[in-house]
Amino acid sequence: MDSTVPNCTSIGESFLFGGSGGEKESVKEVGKNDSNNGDREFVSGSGKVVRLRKRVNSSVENYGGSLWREDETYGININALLDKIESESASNGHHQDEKASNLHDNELWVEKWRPRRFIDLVGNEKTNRRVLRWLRQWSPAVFQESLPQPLYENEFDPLQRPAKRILLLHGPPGIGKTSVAHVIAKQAGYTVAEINASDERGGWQVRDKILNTLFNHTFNQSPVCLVADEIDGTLESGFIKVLIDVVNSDARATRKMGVPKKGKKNRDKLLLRPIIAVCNNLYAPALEKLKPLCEIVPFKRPSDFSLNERLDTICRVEGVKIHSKSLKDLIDLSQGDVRNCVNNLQFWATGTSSQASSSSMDTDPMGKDFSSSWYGLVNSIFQRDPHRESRDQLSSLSQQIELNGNYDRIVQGCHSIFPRVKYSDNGVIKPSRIADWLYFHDLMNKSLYQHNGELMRYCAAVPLQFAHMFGDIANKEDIQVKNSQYEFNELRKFTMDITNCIAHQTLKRSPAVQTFTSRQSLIFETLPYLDSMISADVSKCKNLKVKQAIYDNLAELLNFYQLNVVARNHDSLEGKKILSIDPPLDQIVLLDNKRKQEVLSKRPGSLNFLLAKFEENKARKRHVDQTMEKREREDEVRVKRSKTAMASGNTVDFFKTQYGINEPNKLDTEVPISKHQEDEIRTWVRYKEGFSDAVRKNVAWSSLWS
Amino acid sequence: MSLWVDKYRPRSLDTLSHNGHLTSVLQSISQQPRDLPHLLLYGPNGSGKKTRCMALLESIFGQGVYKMKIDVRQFVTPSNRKLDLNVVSSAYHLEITPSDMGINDRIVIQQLLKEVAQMEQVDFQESQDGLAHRYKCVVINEADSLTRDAQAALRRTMEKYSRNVRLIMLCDSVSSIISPIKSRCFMVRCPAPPNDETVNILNYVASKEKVQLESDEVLKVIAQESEGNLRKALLMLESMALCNEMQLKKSTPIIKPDWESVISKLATKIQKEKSVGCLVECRSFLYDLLAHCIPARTILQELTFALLRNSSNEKAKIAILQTSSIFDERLSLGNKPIYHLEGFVARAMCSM
Amino acid sequence: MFEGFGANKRRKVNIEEEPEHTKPWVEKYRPKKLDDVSAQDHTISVLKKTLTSANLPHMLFYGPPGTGKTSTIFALTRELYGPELSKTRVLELNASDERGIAIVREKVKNFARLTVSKPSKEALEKYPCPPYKIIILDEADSMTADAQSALRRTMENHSNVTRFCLICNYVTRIIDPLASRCSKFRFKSLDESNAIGRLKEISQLENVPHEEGALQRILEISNGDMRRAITLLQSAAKRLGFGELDKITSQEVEELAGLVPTHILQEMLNKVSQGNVNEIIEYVNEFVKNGWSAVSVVNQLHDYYITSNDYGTDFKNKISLLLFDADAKLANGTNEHLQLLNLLVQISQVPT
Repeated sequence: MDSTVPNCTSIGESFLFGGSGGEKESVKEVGKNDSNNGDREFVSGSGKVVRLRKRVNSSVENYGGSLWREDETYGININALLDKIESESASNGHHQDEKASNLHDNELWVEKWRPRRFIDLVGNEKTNRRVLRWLRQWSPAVFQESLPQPLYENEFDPLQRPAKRILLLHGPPGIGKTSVAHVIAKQAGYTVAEINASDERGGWQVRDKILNTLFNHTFNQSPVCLVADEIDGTLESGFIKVLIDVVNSDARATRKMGVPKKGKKNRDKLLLRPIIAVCNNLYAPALEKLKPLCEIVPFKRPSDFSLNERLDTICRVEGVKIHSKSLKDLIDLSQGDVRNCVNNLQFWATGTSSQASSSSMDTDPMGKDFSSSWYGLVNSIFQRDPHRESRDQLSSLSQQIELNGNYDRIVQGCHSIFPRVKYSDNGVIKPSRIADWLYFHDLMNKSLYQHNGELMRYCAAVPLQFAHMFGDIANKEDIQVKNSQYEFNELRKFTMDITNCIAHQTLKRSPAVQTFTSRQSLIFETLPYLDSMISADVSKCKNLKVKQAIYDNLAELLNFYQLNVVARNHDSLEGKKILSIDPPLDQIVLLDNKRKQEVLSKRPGSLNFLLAKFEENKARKRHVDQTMEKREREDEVRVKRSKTAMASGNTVDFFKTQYGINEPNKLDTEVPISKHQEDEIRTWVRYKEGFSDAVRKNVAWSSLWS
Repeated sequence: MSLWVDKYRPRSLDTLSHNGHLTSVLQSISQQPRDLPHLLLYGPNGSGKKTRCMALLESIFGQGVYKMKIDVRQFVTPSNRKLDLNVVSSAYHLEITPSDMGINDRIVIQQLLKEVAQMEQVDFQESQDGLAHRYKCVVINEADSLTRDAQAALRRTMEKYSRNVRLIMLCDSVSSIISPIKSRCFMVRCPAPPNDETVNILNYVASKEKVQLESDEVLKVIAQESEGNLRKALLMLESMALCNEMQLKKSTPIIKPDWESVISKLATKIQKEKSVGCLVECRSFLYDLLAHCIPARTILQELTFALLRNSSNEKAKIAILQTSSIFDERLSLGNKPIYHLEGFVARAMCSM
Repeated sequence: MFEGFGANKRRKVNIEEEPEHTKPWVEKYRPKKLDDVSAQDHTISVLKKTLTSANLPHMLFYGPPGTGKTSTIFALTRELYGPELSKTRVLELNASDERGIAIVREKVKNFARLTVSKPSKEALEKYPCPPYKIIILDEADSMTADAQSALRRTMENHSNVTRFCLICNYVTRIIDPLASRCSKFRFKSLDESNAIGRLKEISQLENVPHEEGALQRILEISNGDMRRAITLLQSAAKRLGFGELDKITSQEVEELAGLVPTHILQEMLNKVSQGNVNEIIEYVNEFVKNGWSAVSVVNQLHDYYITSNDYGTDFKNKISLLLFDADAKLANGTNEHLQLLNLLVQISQVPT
């Protein structure tokens, strides 16, 4: 066991905490080396050459029962894992197969195949590791063990906990956020205490519950990790308030740790257990206050490939034969929702397996279950059978539609695929005629809310109308129905939430100004123009005075609308971080593709300057705050000294610890993004260090901008 | 400070810029603060309704109306659900926006107004600015988005509690205000500033902000493009100035919001090609626009006018207008904007 | 048991008489006695009979707004009970109150169940004080059908101690079972001779100078709605105290009512008759910017076309169809600009 440690450590460091850009390559290389099973060297993200010698065998026996923390690394020993899989796949798979058939009838696959170990997780590898890393940072505080080396150089917490005490996972539903939280917490050696929407989460009940779980010692062998699920609901404000209180009281307690205790009862408690929060929508109004206290980790949909792989495994183990094409359909249908995917797979599989017992295995991959779903029904609407009388066909269609009953979905499906089917038409006359019917459907469907849905029964006429107009013999292939409505709704909600977020914040900040702008005009007018103002490119400007004026103006605007410039991963740029505005203003206002590209190419440059300016203002403000604070503290100390007549040696220590806490704090805020950035920031650091008039004079700001 | 449009907003009746006649009307109202009628200000977007409303309040109550704060009020619906609503208020007035409360606006209106009405304003000092404190003003933004129920709930309230409450309603169009309300209100029409007034205002702001202007031409273009919407004009000026190093030339390109340019692109697309493939492309455009919270009705209006601008055929224009008016109604009756917008596109293609 | 009664609490606020001059004229000149109610002779005579006979059926008042329905029932209760007793004997609920089914089941039923209190001696001397209570449901057409049907049994069960009076604009919105339990009184809109007398009286009392025909114009605009007429008069009077005008003119009244001035309307009609689509588009664009409301344009166009002698019947038929269509669409809350433009363009295409 111990023998693997040095190797693992170096690997872990290199691919977890090296430069973000190099991450991917090094991971790959590790894998390759592994298969060759010999000494290799590879270059880590930080440019270090690491020589690797693998000692496989010693860890294999231990593997099954061991918890992650036992190998005393904070990374994952990929070598061992992969090897493990290789060596055990045959026997293990077989074993599971047996188990699977035993439990076949009485367990949902979703539960059964819920990931239990780290390697079971599908997709999002990088984010998963980020979660793991964060959790590992708690180890010194929770398990009293020391990490091989501090994860951050600027770690200032006396207990070496991560800077942000709460981890916030967000992403679309069904991609395994909760699973990740659970699995990783378990791997790291915690017992998971989950609080989700089903629990009572208002008022004192939840407060007691949280405080109990967090601060009371359990007699179980392992400490607790709190997983707060689904915290973005509107009714969760009480719950969130408790979380905020916990963190704040922790912050106070941490600050007091340096101060010698005086035996008084201390009400603020140190937070010694990690908290992981999970939500779908990061911009939900309820989360506004919590966000700054959290380390935010976004989750993305797993790639189709990795999902496919996972489903394939399930099928193999469960003994279901399924076409790769229909598997792909399944994936498309669920749009990355793993849970939904597995669910569908199970029910489809049970259907076919029962069929299989009566007859031979069906060759038709889509089976019967699908034809009665709206998905198949929509397709059958457009497929006219040349051998049947059209009247016959229509009446059977109408029966099927009424049986299905989900008119809205069917019409939606028809609407989304009708342009892609074959039919004879002169120009776009038929689409324009079907619009009337869609209107009819809309009205009938609306009656659901007005006349108790009495008119719903007429809805069946609309799909028939589709069949009448667009049905054709030439349509034989099934066409995939994309659920664009859902996507659209999600996107819309997202936009709405961001706007509300901005509106709310500005309203809170200065109601007297913001009250003049309605939400509508915010979307229509103010925000688009604000965006174009912020993206103003001034780098070519010669006149320094004008340039300065513009920057001042922009910085104030940013401040007014509470916008931040942050470095963020962008979908299209793998792994590279670029500067952008947060909340993501550009996502609300930009529609044009060309302009969207600009966000990636041109903007970061101008934002860079803006960020520097912003930081400068912040630094200035912080400086003022800090001197104020310092003065206060000195006063405090003076008072204390006069009271207790403290020994002088003690005071020195006291000041030391104070500076020990303070100093890194400054460093913490600077985000090294690019070389240029660092230059900019170094100037203000100097400005700070030499806090005297003489130095200040030497730094001419205007010279920095040229 | 904030955007220029907020920075140079007139804050009292004397400094209101355009439309002197209207200002004199408001002044005459403010002269008799004791019997302030219920007011209904209507006019197109960006014509300064809210600015006038606040200026009027200022002239009645003094500077204090600009000292606003936000309260979170809780309302309980009949089904015992709790609603939290942000209410912006000063010592003299409070503001509500119906769109914040969705379908529950009736409950909010009933409870809020009654609450205000039952609270006697105790400031009886007969000093000069204290004389009108016996009532509180309730400003209803976007009054045209009040549901019929809520408007009906306002009817008697307006009469019954007129002693303690005065309503000031702001809306874009009066057609969705029910007539009993209209008959109880003093209606004030706020027209948009004509182009030359807009140019004057722009000129003033530009000189204050030290924007170098080559000529007034560019301001005229801005005024033309903003279509009488002063807010838009000022925003346009600011963003153009910031993007062009505070120098505006005749040839400086106008900055338009993305959604507008997308719609005009859509219009050209419709006119160029008349096929199902094009329809599919248009659909994705429409989805995109809707997802960015551009209301369907605005899309329809902009699209219609873009089509009208582009086409030269008189018959086609008439057909487009007719279609547009039909689909406009469908949009306001139906729930599924995408069907109707796409229907309009298809119909427009046919009529080309 | 009824200490927490909302209605009672509210009434306390109202009891304290307001200084007369701050009251809206509509309240100030609300008829105090049945005799004061003008132009509803039939109804009044029937009701007066009930004063003597001490028997009263359930009542349903319906008719257009501003014809004195609410005034009548209040005058009636005042004459029946006098100010003191009204407090315990009358429950008024209007659309500003919560009137869901739950309220009808609890509040109304509980009030209806109460036995009547004994009137004091002096009250008995002055007023008839019949042994029943009255529940007034104002604006009953905005009650849901469910709430209405919950009233049915209540009305019958407690008819020995309670009478109901429903007031609504549209009798069709009252469910049949309820309507059949009431004796219906239709309030017709005021005819001119009645109304002008009242207006003249008010203007004399309030000392408002007016131009010849101005009051006439007010009546025309308000269309038989007395409340609207009085509000208009008050608004116009308010304008008088300040500025150039020394008496109320028709033009002033039109402006206040949100009507389009005649000369602008004429301009518009000229454009329409020329039939150039592009020019109409341009013109409407400017017109809408000025904030005029499309609904009143439709109404005014209707008045113009239908009363004009220059057009043939066929033409008038077609035009009215277009106008009705546009009005219906506007009532559905559609885009004013598009609909107005469409209407004008369509009219311009109708051959004379």
